[in-house]
Amino acid sequence: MVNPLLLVEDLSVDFIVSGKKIEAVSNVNFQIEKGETVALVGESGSGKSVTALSIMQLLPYPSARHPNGSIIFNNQEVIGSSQGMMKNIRGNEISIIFQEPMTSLNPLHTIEKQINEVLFIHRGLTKDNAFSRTLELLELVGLADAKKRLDAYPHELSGGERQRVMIAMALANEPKLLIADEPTTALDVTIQAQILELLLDLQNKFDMSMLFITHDLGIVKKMAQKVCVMHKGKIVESGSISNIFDNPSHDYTKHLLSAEPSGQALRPKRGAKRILQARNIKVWFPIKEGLLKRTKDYLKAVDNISVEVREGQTVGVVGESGSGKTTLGLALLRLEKSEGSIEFNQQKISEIRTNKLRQLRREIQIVFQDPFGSLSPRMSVSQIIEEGLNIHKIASSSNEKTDLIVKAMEEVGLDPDSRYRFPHEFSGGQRQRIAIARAIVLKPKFIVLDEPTSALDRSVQAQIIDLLRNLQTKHGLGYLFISHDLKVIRAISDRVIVMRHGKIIENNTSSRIFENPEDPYTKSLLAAAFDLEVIKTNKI
Amino acid sequence: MNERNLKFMGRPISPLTERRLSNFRANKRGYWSLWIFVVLFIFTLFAEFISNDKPLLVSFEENFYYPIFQSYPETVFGGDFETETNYTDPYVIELIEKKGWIIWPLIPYSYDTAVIDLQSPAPSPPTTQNWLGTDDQARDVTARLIYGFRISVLFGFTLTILSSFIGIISGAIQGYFGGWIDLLFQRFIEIWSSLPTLFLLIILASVVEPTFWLLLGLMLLFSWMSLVGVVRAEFLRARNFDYVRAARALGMPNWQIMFRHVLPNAMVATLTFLPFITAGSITVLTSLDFLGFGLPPGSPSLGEMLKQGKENIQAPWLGFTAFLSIAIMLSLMIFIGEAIRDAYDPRKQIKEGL
Repeated sequence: MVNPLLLVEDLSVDFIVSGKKIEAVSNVNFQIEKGETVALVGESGSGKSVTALSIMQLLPYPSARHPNGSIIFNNQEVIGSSQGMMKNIRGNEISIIFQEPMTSLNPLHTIEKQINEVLFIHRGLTKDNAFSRTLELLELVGLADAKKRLDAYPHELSGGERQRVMIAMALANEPKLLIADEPTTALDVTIQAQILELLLDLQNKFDMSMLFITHDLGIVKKMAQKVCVMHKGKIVESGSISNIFDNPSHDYTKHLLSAEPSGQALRPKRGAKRILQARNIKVWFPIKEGLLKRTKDYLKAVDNISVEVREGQTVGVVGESGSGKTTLGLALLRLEKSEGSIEFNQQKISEIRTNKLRQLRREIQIVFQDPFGSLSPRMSVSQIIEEGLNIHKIASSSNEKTDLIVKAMEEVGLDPDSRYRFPHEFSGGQRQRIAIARAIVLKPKFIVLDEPTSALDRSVQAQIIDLLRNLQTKHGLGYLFISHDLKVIRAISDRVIVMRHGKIIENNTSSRIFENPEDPYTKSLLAAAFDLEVIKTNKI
Repeated sequence: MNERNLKFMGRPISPLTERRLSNFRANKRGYWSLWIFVVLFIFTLFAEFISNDKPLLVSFEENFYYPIFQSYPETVFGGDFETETNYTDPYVIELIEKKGWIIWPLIPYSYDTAVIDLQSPAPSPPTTQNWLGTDDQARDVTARLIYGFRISVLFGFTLTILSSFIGIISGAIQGYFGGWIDLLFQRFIEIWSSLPTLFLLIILASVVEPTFWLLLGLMLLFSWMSLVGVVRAEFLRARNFDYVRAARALGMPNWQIMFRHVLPNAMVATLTFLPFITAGSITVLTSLDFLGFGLPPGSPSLGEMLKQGKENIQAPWLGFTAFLSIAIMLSLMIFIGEAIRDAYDPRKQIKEGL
C-alpha cells in the first residue's frame, strides 16, 4: 500500500499561557493523499490554523507543545525534526498561503524581490534564471501585465492581486502540499471566485495536494474532496464531501450546515411612514496637487445617490470594498460631510445646526462592523449602554436608568447580570449584541447597520440577523443594512441597492434583484456569491 | 470567563488594570523604589515636626504652648522682649525649664537656624549633634537636606502636574481637531521649543527676584511641550476609532468624547512619562540653584548645598550629602518610571508565557 503524502495521527497542541495549560488541538487524525484536497472546516477558535501551523512547525515553541501525536510527511516524521530538515520542507515541499494578503507580504520589497528570495534560498538560482522563473510564475497566477508589475510594491496592488503574488510565491518551488489558510476570506466575492478558480486550475496542473482551511461551507463544496469538521480542537466528523453534506451525523456539523442566514425579510406595512429620505447625496473628497494644493480632481466616494427608508423596512446596500457603502451610511448620519438633502421624519437634517442635530441623534443610530473596535475597552457594559441615556438625559433616577439598561440587555438576549463586565470578556457575537443594545436603549427609529455581521461566524451571523429582525417587528425600526455579503442581505432586506464606485448600479426590491438581476455587474456578483463562479464583465 | 470581582483600594477595576498592577509589582526594583520614595516624601512633608528650632510642646506654669502652630512673645515666658520667642536662646530655655519643660523635635534645628555652640568653626564636621555636619553659615545639613528634599520634590511634582495639564490639553486639541489648528500649533511649538531655555531662565531670573512660584511659572513656559507630541499622536489615532464614532453618533459633545473616550488612551503614554518628567524638572531646579539663579538665598535647596560643597572642598560632608541625596532621589524616580513603563507594556505578558 502506498503511504499517504501527509499523515496526521493523534495530534495534540497545548499552549502554556502564564503558567496555565490551554488545549488548542486534541487528538486530531487525518490524512491527505497525493493530488487530493482536504478541507478543515470550523468556526474561529476551533483549532484549524493551529493544526495547519503545526504541520509546518511554525508554532511559537516552546510555549506551544505537542504532548502526543505524529505528523508524517512524505514518510518523514515532522514533529521534533531538525531545523535544517524543516528548512528544506518549508517553502519547498509544503507551502502556505495566509488569510491576510496585506500583512503577509513585506511592504518594503518589490514583488520580484520577494519571489526571487524563495528561489534563491531553495533552488540556488542565479539572478537571470530567477528573473525568468519569477515572470513565468506571475503569468501563471494570472497577474495582469506581469512584466510591468515586477517592480511594484505590495501597496500598489489590489487585495486580489496581492493574493495572486502570495500564491506565486507559494508555488515557486512546486510544492507537494499547499496549505491554504482562509485564502479568500479577506477578499471581495468576485475576486474570491477568481482566486478559487485559479487554485483549482493550478492544482490540476501540478498535481498538488491541498489542505484548505475555511469557515465557509460553500467554498468547501467547490474545492475539496474530503472534509474534516473541527470543533473546540477536535475533529468531530470527517468524510467525503457528499457524505458530510448529505448525511451529517454529528450535531455540530448539522448546526454548521443549517447556519446559513435564512428567513424572510419583513415587508413594511402598507402606507408606512417614510422615515428617511435622502436625495442626490454626494461625498466628494478633493484630490489636491501641486505647491498651492489646488484641487485637481475629486474622489467620488458617493456620487448622486438617493435612498428612501420606511418605517419597519430594511434597505440593503451591497457592494465590494471601496464602493462607498460605508461612506454613504456615515453621510446619512451626518458623520461625514456631504451634499444633497437628507430628510428625517419630514424634517430636513442636512442643514440643521449641530446642537439641534444632537437631539435628533437619539432617533438615528449606528452599529459598526467590528465589535472589538466599537466598544471602549475601558468601560463596563453598563457604562457603555448608559452613555446615550446620560447624553440625552432620558432617565431621571439611577434606578430608572438601570431598569432601561437591563431591559435593553434582555431585549438583545444578554444576561443583565453580566452588565458589570468589560467588553473583552464577551465573544464577538455577544459584543455585537452589546453594540445593538447601546443603539436601541435610546429607542431610535432608524439604525444604520454597517456590516454588523461580517466579523462574525456564520452561525452567530444567523442569530444576529434573527435578533435584528425581531427588534424590527417589535419597534417598527427602519434599517439601512450595509454589507458585502449577499446571503445576509437576502435574509433581511426588503429593498436592495447595488453600489459600485460610488454609484447605484441597481435599485430594486430584494426579490427582483435576487431572482431577476438586470445589470451584468449584479449578475456577476450573484454568481460569485452563490455559485462561486466567475462571470466576466466589462469594467464600467 | 473571569468571574471573580477584582478590587483595588476598594474600587472595582477592570482586568486590564489588574494586569498592569501585577506587572508593576513584578518589577521588584520599581515597586520597592515607590515605597521608599513614598515613605521619604511623607516623612519630609512633616519636616516642621521633625526638624525645627521651635519646640513641639512647651509646658510653662501648668499651661501648654504649641510654638509650631502659634507664635508667643518672649514675655509670656517671663522674658524681656515683645517679639516672638527665640527658643534657641539659652537664656529663654533656662527661663522655661525653671517652671516647666520642653519637648524638642528629633532635630532641634530648622533649615535656617544658625547653630550657636559649635565645637569647630563652620563648616563643622558631623557630630552626634549635627549628624551631617554644618554648612559654611553654621546651618545644620540634616535639616537643610530634609527641607531641600521636600522643596525639590514638591517643585518637581507641581511643575510636572501643571505642564502635563497644559500639554495634554493642547495635544488633545491639536490631535482631535487636526487641520489648521494642528498645523499652526505645531509650527508654534517648533519655534517655541527652539528657544534656549536655560539662558532665558538665567536672564529672566537675574532681572526679577526669583521665588518658588515665579521659577515654577518660568519653567512651565518651556516644559509644557514635552507631552504634546505623544498626546497629539494618540488623539490623532483614536479619533477615528469606531467607539469614538459610535459616541459621536450617540450625540455626545466633542469635549466629552475627548475626555471620556480618547483621553484614557492618551493617559497610558502620559503616565509612563510622568516620573521621567518629574526627574527632569528636579534636575533643572537643582542646576539653577547650583548656578545661583534659583530659589531665593537662604532657602533650603539641594543645588545650593552642591554649590557649598564645591566652594568648601575641605568639608566633603557637604558635597557627599548633596550628591548622594540627589542621585538616590533621581534613581528612585527612574526606577519607578521603569516599573510604570513595564506595567503599561502590552508585550510584557507575552515574554512570560505564550
